[in-house]
Amino acid sequence: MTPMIDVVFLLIIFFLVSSHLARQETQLELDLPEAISGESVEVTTTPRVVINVTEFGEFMLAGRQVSAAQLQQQLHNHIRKEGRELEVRIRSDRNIAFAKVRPIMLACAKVGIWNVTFAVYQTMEGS
Amino acid sequence: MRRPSVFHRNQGGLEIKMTPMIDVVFLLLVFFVWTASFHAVEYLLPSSLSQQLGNAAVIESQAPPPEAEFEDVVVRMLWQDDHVAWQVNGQDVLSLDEVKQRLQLVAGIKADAPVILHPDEGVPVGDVIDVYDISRIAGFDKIQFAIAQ
Amino acid sequence: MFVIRKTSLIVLLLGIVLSGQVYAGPGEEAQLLNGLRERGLFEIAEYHCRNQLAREDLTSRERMQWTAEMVHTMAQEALNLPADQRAVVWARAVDMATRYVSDYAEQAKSFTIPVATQAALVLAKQGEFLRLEAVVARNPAAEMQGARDKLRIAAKALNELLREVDVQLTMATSTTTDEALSQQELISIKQRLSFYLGNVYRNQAVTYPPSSGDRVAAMQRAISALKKPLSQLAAEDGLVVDIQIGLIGCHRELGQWTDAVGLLDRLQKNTLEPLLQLRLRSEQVRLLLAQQELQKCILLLEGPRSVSGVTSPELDLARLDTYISLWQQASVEKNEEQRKRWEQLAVAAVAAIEQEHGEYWGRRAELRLLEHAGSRGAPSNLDVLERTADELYRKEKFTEAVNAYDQAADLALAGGFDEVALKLSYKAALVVQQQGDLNEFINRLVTLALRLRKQPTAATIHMLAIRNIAAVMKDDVQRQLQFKQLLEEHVQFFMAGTTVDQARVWLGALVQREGKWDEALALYVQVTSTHPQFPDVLQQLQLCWDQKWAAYDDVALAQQPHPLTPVIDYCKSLMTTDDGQWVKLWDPVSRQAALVYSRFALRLPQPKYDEIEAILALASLGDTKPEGQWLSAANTIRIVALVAQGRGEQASELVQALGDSSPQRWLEMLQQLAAIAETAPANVQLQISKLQLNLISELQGKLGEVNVEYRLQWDLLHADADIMLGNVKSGYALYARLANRNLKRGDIQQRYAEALLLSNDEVRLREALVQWRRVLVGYRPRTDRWYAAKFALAETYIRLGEREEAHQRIQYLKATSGLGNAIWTKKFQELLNRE
Repeated sequence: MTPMIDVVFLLIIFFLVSSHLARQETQLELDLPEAISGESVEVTTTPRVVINVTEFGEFMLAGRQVSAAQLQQQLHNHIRKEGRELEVRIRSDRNIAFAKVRPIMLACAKVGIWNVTFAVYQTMEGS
Repeated sequence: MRRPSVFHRNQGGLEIKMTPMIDVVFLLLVFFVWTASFHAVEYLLPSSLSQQLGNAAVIESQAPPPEAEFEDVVVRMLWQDDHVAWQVNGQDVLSLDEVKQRLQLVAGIKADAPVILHPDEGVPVGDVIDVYDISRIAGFDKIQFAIAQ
Repeated sequence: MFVIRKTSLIVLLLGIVLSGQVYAGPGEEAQLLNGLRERGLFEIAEYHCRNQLAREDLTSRERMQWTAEMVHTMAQEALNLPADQRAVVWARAVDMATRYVSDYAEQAKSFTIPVATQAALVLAKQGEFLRLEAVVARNPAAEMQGARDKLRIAAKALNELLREVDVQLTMATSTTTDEALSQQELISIKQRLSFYLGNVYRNQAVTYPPSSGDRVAAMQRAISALKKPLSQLAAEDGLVVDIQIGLIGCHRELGQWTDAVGLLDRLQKNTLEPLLQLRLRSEQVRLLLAQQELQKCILLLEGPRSVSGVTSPELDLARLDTYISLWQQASVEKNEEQRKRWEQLAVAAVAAIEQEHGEYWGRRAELRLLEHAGSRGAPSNLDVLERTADELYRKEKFTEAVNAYDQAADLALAGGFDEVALKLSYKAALVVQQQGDLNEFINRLVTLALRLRKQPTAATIHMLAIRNIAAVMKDDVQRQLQFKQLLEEHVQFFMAGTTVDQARVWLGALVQREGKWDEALALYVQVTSTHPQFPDVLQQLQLCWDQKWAAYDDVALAQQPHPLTPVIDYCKSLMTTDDGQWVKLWDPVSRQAALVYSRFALRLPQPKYDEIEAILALASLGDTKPEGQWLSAANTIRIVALVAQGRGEQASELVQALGDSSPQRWLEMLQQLAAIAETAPANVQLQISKLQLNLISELQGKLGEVNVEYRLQWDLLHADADIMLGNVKSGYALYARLANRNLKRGDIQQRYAEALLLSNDEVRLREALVQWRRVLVGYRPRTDRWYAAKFALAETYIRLGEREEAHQRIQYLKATSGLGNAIWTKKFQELLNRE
């Protein structure tokens, strides 16, 4: 009996973990900015591109570092593949200068993506 | 004839097989540890980009709509050496709270006024998001980032 | 003979230098260098020293000798330079010495002593110079203290060296080597050091006031320092004579005549070389001078001036001193003839000394002269001082020249000779300007102008300072403030004159720019009518009054007397002569005044049209023809006045006359009519509009070829007049056409918007909303015109009955960009409170 419970639990755990990880796609530990009015992450079918901006100002796309020009090229490719309805999620460290994030927004604007979201941590009102 | 074995079992103590029990306990532990998120939950702030920046001195041939009477609320964030200074429509604002009060005041009058955030190059993303957050809480629906073309 | 000696010397030197192979021993070289120094050929000497120092096979001893010579040469050179350059060369000399000492202290300790001695001598000379110059300085006490400090440092350095020599003596041998000085050399150095120390003490003593305890004590110290080496020296040693001459001087200072005379007699028994003989004679003269035996001095001086062709600067200086004393005696005795004679001789002697013995002695002689002349402020002395200062300026010794001028000016002021003082101070300021110090120049001009403001030229000088600032104040906020301050000062301190008028005009313009109309008016009114730019002043006056007029509300305008009375009276005063009659000859000033007068007179509640018309008619006549622009402006006002009185025919006469002039004038006239209509009462407005329409219809055909802008302005005026008269349909149609054709012209859109607001029709008001919106979008936020557009929008909403909308807009404006400056805030508040 016990070995079966073992196996069952193992399987459950395995599937939970893998789906959790896939959902989060947290490849990078970053100090995200804090906001009060953040909306929770919904499970949607909109294709999404996540761009991480480290504290040194580097852009990480799918685990690889890219430059601004390459970023624009990549976004262009994504659009061609998946249509205009692309969501770009920017996860950036809260202490870097806005000037580092601006190229991403510029690239999105040039390529024609208007759905740009920022990833934030939640704080309560008053804190 | 087996009766003494019942007694025996009752008095003799439970012969529980510990090893599988330990296994199960460990598995449960691991299960809960994994599902508890070590990372803080992430939320999203949607934003939209604005292609225009600043004051275009153009008199259109079409009659301007009534909304033209309400000018944009431009929140400028200046970077002064090591701290942020805010300006709302050219007027200096001393603290983030004051920015919040002003935006709430404006939203009280006209909630669909366009708000444009214009941060300087050196302003940290955290501060920009703070102002953006405040604008959302105040109730504005058209909040845009201004980036120069 | 002098010349031949010089040339042969140069040939010899060139030979040595060019050959480069002949390394004469330093001893002979020293003589050569001495000779060069004496003749003032310092650069050659330095060059030679430097060459020798750059040699590869230099021994330590040679290096020491050459370095010492170099420092000595530089020190001598510095003596002959003007003050600013002197300090530089001295610094270089001391620098070289210290570098040598620090570089070679390890290897050859004893060698550093001669070089350090030279450096200490430089310090001593610096102290001596400070003492000499302190006489003519502005603050003698402070300068003397500075001299004392310097001498103290020099004395300390020499004492240290003495101790060092003692230390070295214990280790020295009796042979001269290349590594260290021998015993003999060290002893000789020690004796010299004592001598130098004695001189320094003597200099120190002289810095104290005469017959003070300090002086006596210092002199005693000098005597003991000088006497010390005497016992060790052989009688033939040259140093002995130097020491004894020094001792004579010390005894003389202390008033110990017998000791001094005793030494003198002993010395004279020896045979001395020519230079020393002359020096001895100079000491004799000085001794007699100190004892006030002037006649004996003269007798002594009649002896030969030079012995074997050698002259002594000391003797010549003693001669100068004698002359000065005689000069002093003569002025005390009021013997004018004698005084002049001695004065001339003294001045000549100074020039001669400089010529013969070089700049250093020349300066010492000059200082003597300045000291004497500067002690009494008689005009003749001032003259001498001034001439000396002029000489200094010509020789390009600017710092000394400025000091001399200052000294003379102070003296003149103390003596009450203000005019001379002004002249001298002014010259000093000019020299400072030449040196390039603008700040100091301006400060000097201002101080001197204010101190001597009763002088006639003081105002011009002050204005000169102001002009100089005006030239450099373009981007400098500090200077602009200074400019304003000085203008205010000028107006305050100087009563009348063209400069004051100019200052008033400038100050008025400044104040006007800041928006202080009343202050500007007060200044303009004071400008005399003879100022060349007076018509411009009147123009500015009119602008100020226009601004004031705009700020008056109905309550203020109902006051008695009417607020415009001051300007009307002022203008009248410009048009009438002293006995109340109108001016006979109308010049541009009075004509401009007539124009300004009539402009404001029209705005009175009950304008006196006939008076206005009459004055203008009078002003148009006269011998000189009025210029076209003035005439059209005047005629416009006349037409209005005539029309207002109902004298239509005369008005049309003038209009006919207008028809003969150019289209430019027609447009001007129409525009001026519109301007007058703005401030005129309602019935007059109507009449003016009618007049405008008549004119337009009459002249329309005659327009011919005109440019687009002209046509535009013409049509705008047409439309305005139509609307004013009530032909709303055609008027607004014309406006709409013009606005549509000129969408990029903000001014036309604004005028259309303003015209739309004049009607009460709802359709027009809605159109006005659209138009104002267009205007608003076109202006930069937070400018005055932007606020005006916002205000007009709010007002239109209220007139349409939509108070809520208006309120919402004003609240929004308040929350975002603010309600603007105080005036706008008040207006918006009033609008909010309106029922």
